Amino acid sequence: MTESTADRRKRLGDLQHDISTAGSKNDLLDAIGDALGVSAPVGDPVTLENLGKAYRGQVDDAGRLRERVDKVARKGLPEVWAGDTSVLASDAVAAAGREATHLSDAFDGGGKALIKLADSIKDAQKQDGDGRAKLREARTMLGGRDGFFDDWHEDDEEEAARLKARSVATAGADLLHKAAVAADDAARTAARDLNKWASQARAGKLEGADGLTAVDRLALADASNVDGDPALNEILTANDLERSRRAMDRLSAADRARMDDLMANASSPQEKAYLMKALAAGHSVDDVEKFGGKIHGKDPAWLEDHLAPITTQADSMVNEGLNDDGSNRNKDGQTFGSQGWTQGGDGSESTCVASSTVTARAMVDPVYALQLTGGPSGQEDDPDAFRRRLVDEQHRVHLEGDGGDNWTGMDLEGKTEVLNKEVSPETGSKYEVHEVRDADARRAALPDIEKAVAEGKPVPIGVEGYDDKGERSGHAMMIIGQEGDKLEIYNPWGTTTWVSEDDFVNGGMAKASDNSMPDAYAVHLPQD
Amino acid sequence: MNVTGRAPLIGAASLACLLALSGCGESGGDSPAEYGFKDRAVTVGQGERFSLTVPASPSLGRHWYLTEPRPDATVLKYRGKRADYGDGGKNVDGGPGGTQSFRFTALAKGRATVRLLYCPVNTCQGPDDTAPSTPPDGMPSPSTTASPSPYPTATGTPDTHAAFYVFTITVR
Repeated sequence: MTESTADRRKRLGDLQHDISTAGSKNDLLDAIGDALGVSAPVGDPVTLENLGKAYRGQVDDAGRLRERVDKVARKGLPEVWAGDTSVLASDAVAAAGREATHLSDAFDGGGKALIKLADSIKDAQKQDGDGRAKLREARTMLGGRDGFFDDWHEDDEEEAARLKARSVATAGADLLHKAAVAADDAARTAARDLNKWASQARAGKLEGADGLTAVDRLALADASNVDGDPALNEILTANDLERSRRAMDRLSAADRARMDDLMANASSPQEKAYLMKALAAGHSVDDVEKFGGKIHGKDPAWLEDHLAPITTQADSMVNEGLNDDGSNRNKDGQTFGSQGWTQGGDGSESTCVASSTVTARAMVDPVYALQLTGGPSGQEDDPDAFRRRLVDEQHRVHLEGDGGDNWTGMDLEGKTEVLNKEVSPETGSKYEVHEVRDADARRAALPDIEKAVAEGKPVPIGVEGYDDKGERSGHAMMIIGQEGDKLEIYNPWGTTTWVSEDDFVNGGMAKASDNSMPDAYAVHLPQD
Repeated sequence: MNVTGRAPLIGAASLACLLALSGCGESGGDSPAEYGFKDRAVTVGQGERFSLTVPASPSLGRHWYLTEPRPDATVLKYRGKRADYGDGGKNVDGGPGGTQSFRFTALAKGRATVRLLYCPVNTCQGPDDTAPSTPPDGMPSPSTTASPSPYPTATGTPDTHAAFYVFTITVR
């Protein structure tokens, strides 16, 4: 069985220590044998490089497509030319231009990721080979194993020979470990980048959805909320696009006709996208119709306020340094009017698990979000009433997960239960808890975290810290986005901020809360 | 990575202890005396060790800081801050919280003022963070921050607003 890059990295790190501290000839020979038994970095650099070049070869074609679309846009179109579902033609052309840009970027980014991976694996394999040569040299220097009685005494000459061989072996083990670290980092970076580019091939995820024209697909994939960075605030996640396509395909002819009518009568691309998001969240056409009646004709800003709990601002990734308590200065408050999406309404209750779960569900289900923000009619705009509904809902979920008395504390089993009852039905993925109490475990979890959030599935994260008596405190937050090597974190204190993946791995989660809880200890990963 | 089991919760008992921490006064035995947030005027004997112990909670983001001006160093020696949040359980998020203690030794007869800054979530973030409150982008500013002083001097129970808690310590 092939070892994972993370397993190799950890195993060789342990053996590097064993070799450098081996106190006898036999211990050293055993450790050298174990290190040589760990497989070399796998992967064929030539194949990867050719694949990367093939991807990048498509960039020119995508660029020419973008130029042709731009030309159409510049030439101008009749102002109110409308497609099948009333998307203004100019909007459609603009969406096509952006999609062509995405296409070009995806080919370019994917190609670069593969070529970079090929280079890294080639270098790692060379370094690994050099290290193995040194280990073999050390083994030759040591000769055969000591017998039982030989092992009892080591004279000065034997000790000098062992230490010399150990020095050579240590240099070899260092090379093997460095190669393993480089291969692991390269594999994770490539997986992260390729997952991201794959999730951004957005319009294609609606391919084959009955009743949707190419223009519809473009408009849906392109629809963003109006505040913040459009690329970070797309209404339909990659998972939404997939699920809505499958949902459309499953509809009866009568229901499909009703859905087509709803889409055709929607007054903006955002309204249309939210209808589709409601379908993706698992609602029946009856429910989507009722929801559509409540949001019909609302402007995009109203839709964002009522249906999107989280807005990621364009400057949210700017590094503004740290506060005295270790938290990021650059945080965005997530509010409905003046009321934050905050645990207990004002941060006064320890319902962090229930509160992050409620917000996560509202992120993936606009019908649920509107019940909280807009009330039974869906038309309310009252932060105080929202607060009452939000806290009631946090309490309901806290009790559902058997949370502690006085709105304090919920354990991992309760957390798993509420996630699977509240969020999984909307995303279609069951959550499973994984403890990640050391850096290796956290590093190993990163690819799954990146894939989940790229698809639009929130990843719950538990963080912890210890007081002066060594007693533990824990807090629940949610990973909701990823860009490059950064993770976007929602804290149910009502804020979002970004941390680096290095922070996540190496105990830097204080940036998203404060110094009292720096370590991630558990993540709930969606299972496909 | 391991799939984990269920851990026991703690709750009411710890919370009751926390809520009781509002004027503990002298403690028995040889332990240093503990005073709570209601004990704004405290009298201690020369050479006595004592602490101001106030309710805090990591999972609620509630912390306290000793701020400037520091107490008169000829009267009180500050021995540092200790946190005791109680054991929230191995796999529990959102425990009930506990206390932070500011520990002092009474050095000489006289009077000193201790100013603690109470920072609940989304307000101040440290002892020097006494500029007008700048909550996260998009968050409304708490009404209490509109006063000329960035945070008021509190007379009541710590709540969701930042405030200074001022203690007068008399060493006899």
